[in-house]
Amino acid sequence: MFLGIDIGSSSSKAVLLDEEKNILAAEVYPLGTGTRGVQEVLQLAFAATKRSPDSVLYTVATGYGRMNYKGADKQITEISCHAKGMRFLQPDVRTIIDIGGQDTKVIRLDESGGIENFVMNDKCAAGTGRFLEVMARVLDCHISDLSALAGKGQNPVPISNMCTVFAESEVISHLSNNVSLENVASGAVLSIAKRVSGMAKRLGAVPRVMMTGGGSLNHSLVAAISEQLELAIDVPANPQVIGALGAAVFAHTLYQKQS
Amino acid sequence: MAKVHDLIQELYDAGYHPAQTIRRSMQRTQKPAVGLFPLFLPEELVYAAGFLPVGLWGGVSGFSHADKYLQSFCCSIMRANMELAMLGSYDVLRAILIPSQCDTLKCMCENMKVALPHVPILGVTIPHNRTLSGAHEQLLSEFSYLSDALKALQDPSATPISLQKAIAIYEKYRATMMDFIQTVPDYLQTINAKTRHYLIKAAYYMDKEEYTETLSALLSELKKQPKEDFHGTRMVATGIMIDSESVLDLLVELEIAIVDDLLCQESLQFRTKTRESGSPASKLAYRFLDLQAASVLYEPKKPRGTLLADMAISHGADAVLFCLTKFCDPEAFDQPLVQKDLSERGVTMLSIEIDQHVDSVEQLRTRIQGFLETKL
Repeated sequence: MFLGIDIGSSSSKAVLLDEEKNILAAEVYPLGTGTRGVQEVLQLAFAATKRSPDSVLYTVATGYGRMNYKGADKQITEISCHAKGMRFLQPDVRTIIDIGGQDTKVIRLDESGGIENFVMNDKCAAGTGRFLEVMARVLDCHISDLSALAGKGQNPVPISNMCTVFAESEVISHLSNNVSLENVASGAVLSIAKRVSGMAKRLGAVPRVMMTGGGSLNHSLVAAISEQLELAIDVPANPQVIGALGAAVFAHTLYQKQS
Repeated sequence: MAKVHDLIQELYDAGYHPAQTIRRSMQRTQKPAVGLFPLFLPEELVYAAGFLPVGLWGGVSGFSHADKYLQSFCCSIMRANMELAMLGSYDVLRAILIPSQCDTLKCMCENMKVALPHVPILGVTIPHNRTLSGAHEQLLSEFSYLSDALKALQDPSATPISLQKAIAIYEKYRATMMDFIQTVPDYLQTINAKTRHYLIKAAYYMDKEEYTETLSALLSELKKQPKEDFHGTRMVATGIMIDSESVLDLLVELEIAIVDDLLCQESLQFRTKTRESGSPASKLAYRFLDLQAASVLYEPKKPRGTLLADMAISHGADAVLFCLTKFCDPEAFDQPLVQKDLSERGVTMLSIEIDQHVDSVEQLRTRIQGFLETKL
């Protein structure tokens, strides 16, 4: 078996592949680096395969917490892993937008699947899953409900501050002026969509565009980015595990090379 | 090799512990220190007036006082300098010189007069448009004012020297520094990115003659050693500075060496030679007028990208490392132009943000590691 583990800032993901690169397990646990999330997601993954951890031949760790995972044979960035994982599932993908808890990355691939270029946000949380989390909290809804709430907004209120902290104040100000929750949610989603599409335009997004990471679970956000980019965006069935899948594919390849 | 390591350690410590080094240098030279703000100032004038010039390039972590005068979107060098001033770290200085090379520096000059009323603040107006003939005259006039102001601050026991002699001392220093810059690529195991930085930085806190002598001794010993193999990534750095310990540690960890630079804090301080003809003050003025490739300088033809491409190609470097100082507008404006010039010459560029007070470098690690995985 080959293990790919993606230790993010807000969730841990694990994928196990067999020798023929069949996916044996793909699990997500909503706790990230520095927590018990890693142990939990591994337990889930191994339980799903009913195989012992001892049968893992090679492990690649990726994500924010990759350097701290002692069981890895190699650490590879989530940029390479998302590209590898997405290409593994959809060979015609050329642009990947990954919105994670703390990072947002746009990756452009060439026709053979090699990474042509990438951009990522800086330390600021603008345009990341953290921004959505903060907005959801202010709007008193669970992050998984933010998409539906935003979808009901008819007149998105502009959120001009890109800084998450300032944007939070701006949202509170709108709410105190009796702007509806739906329109504020829609505005927040539009704000992040503009930022992410700006990154994608800077890189030069080309079809087929796919979105990965926890942010792609927000359908309103996917639709807003698609509208801003004027390009169709597809989301894989389990978008959060794409980095871990890429890590597992790398693990398979590196093991073959090694042996 | 033991001697090489001893000399490296001596200079490294001097660059790593500025306050300690300045105290020791003042004691050794028996000269009062004068602080020089970034980016470019006529250091020779200060030296000739019998003072010990020391560089003030920030460095403190965490701000509790600076916000009284500076917004949080000012660059970390200026905020740190303000913080250090308000904490009393600059009380030891006889005066502080602040040039006018960017908008924040212009504000700093006035703010420092209020924040640090007991230390004379000498603003130095550097002509922005250096292509005008009046720029030379303005510099001469500024130097004259500065010389008078420094003279007024001298102790009766001061031992000034002629400007010509000071220029000669600095020319020797500059030549030695360029020798160092050119020698480093042959010894990238011994002189990694962090060591290179602190060795260069030590010059800001030591007497120039003493520093030049120590660096010359190091170069002489180093060149006796066989050239070293280096299998990591070679980069040419550019920007205001790369002065962030966590970033430097990351470069070392990822086996990235700096083979040359166009950094304001590093080789741009000594890359431009002094002209051979003219009066000493005129020579000094032309050193400013001849400076190239810093974002704060007005350069109609913007040669920075071309120079970087030439340097990267001649060194066989894998990439140019653009060190974008956080909140520095001149640097941000230059970045796309540099990227375009490099791209046209087939040179890859990695851009990173430099903040002196970065505690977590995990996102930066991903950016750099991702670059190494995908671009090289």
